Amino acid sequence: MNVFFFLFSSIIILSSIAVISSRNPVHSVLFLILAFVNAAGIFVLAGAEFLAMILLIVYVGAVAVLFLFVVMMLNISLEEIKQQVKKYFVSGILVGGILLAELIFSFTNLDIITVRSDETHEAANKLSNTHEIGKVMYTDYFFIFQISGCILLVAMIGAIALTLRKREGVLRQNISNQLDRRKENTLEIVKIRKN
Amino acid sequence: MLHLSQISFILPELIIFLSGIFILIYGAFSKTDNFSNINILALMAILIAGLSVFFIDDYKSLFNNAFVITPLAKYIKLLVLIISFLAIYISYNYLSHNELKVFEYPVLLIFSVLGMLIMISSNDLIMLYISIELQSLSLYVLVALRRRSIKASEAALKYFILGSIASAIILYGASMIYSVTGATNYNIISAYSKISDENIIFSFGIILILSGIAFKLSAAPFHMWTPDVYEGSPSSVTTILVTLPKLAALTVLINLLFKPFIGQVEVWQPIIIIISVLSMAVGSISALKQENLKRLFAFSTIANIGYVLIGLACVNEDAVQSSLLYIFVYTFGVLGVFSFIMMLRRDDTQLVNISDISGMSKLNPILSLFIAILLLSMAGIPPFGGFFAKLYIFSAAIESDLLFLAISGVIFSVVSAYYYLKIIKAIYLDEVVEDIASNLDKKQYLIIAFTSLLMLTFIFYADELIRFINFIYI
Repeated sequence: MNVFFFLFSSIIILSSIAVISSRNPVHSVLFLILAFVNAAGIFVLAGAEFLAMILLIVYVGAVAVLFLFVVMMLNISLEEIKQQVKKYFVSGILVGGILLAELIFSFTNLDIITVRSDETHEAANKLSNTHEIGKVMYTDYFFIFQISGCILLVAMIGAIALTLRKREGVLRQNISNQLDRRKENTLEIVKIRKN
Repeated sequence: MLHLSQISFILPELIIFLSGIFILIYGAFSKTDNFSNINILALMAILIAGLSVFFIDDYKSLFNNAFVITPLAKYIKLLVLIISFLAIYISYNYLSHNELKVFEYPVLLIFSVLGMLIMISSNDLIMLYISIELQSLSLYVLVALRRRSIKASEAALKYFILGSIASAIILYGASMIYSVTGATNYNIISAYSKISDENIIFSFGIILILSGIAFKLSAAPFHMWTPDVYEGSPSSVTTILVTLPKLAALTVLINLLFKPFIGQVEVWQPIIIIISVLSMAVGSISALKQENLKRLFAFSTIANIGYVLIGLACVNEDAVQSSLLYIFVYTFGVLGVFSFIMMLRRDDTQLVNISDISGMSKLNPILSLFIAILLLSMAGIPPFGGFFAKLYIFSAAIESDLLFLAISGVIFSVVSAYYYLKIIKAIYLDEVVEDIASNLDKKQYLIIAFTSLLMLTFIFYADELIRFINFIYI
């Protein structure tokens, strides 16, 4: 297990570096997908197989593909972005330094950060995570689940309302009209005078 | 699980949800332009949902205590439904004038109201987050619905991005509280907060959740989005934005502060005090130079939220009751003002500047009188409603030994009186520019008259109202 953990995490680190350093934006997105897949691998090692699969479906299947589309559709010139790196260099180092300091602080003072362990976890360990989540999602969290469905519905209404245009003079196929066409209605035989 | 007998407790939500779906299907499949039918359907749905509030029992909790019905929740729901009814009622002509006659408008508004109703009753952090998302997502789309206007698109983008950040902050705070208490339910969190000593992660969670909700309330220093969004969105949507989300977010704040976080008063009381003073200062001072009425009332909203928060900062029940009284007076006052802003049209353009209404009293004396009453009430001039609301807030602050809050409140309400009086001066003393509207909208006129009479006669029903608020919030 340890070998796999180091394998996955080193691939994540390397591919994350590749995301920000590769010249071609499409390659960046592909490296991002590689990082996501390896993160899913680490979740599997930790015993969170549901989270791993969700990560694959949502991030790789939807978000990364969306990124790929955006990168391919919009002609983003990387040179402009690269020029801005200098501008944000100082603040980037600052934010990174703060994050590093926080990590060091929290690892040296683990006793301050008391995270409650879940006692019920041991008893219910017979079922898989997916089973467990499914059981509470449709019973205890039934109402919340339904409202999440409402949110998706609102997102759909919003997306359609904001993008659908009812333009005049748009040509559309009308199948019944097409099938109703007869030779007499449309064909006119004209005799051409010989000259 | 939801049992059949429990359906009666979520009756308003259920009615609103089903009617939203029904209107959506009806609007999508009917080919002719029948916006007026859809409008009437939406009004009926909200009316029935409002009546159904009276059939709910108090003190029930559903879905593993994630959803509770207290008298406060019940009557704030009723108030939200009444305001949304009036907001749909007055905006019909505005929508037809401004290319907003699409059936999605009432549908999105109804889903937003659904989110607010659940927000008001939520007793669980997950429920709170989900309902806030439902409420705000619908509002983002409503702001963006006028696609041709660049200002509306800009406002929608700002609102969407900043609102998403606020939601993320709420979620982050909730995750911290979960990591400490192992629960998302308010009852368990409140049991934890009462027995535990100061815990840095728990306090951090409280601060993050309060910041997120202060954003939704548009309280300073989380107010940056307010003027731009209120100015850019269509006035009918601004009317909704200044009333409904504020009511819902205030109820959420009261529920959070006085239930799960009550054991940690020393953490959140200073924050509420600072936010309150800052909001009053920013709202009153920034509004002084505004010429655009919508921007001016955006800042006025920020200041009013500051006064409301004084009541919460006092940490006792009487003060919270005065906050509820204040938000009641504020909501109806601002509803009247925004129906006036919606009414202002010349030829084919909406008017939004103070200079446009100068000299209005010579042409429309009765309307001007109503507007003057509304503005004087908001400024806190004695015989009107706003004065008594402020009086109760300040006396609650003095009783809780927060004298400086009361003093700064009085100072900033004097400052803010300047810009309310500036509008009255423009209406009564300035020269006539041009007649604003020869055909005034009857429905909007009715609401202006109704709200200003509400402010004028406040002194006669104040006792009953205070007794009622006493009854709903003990």
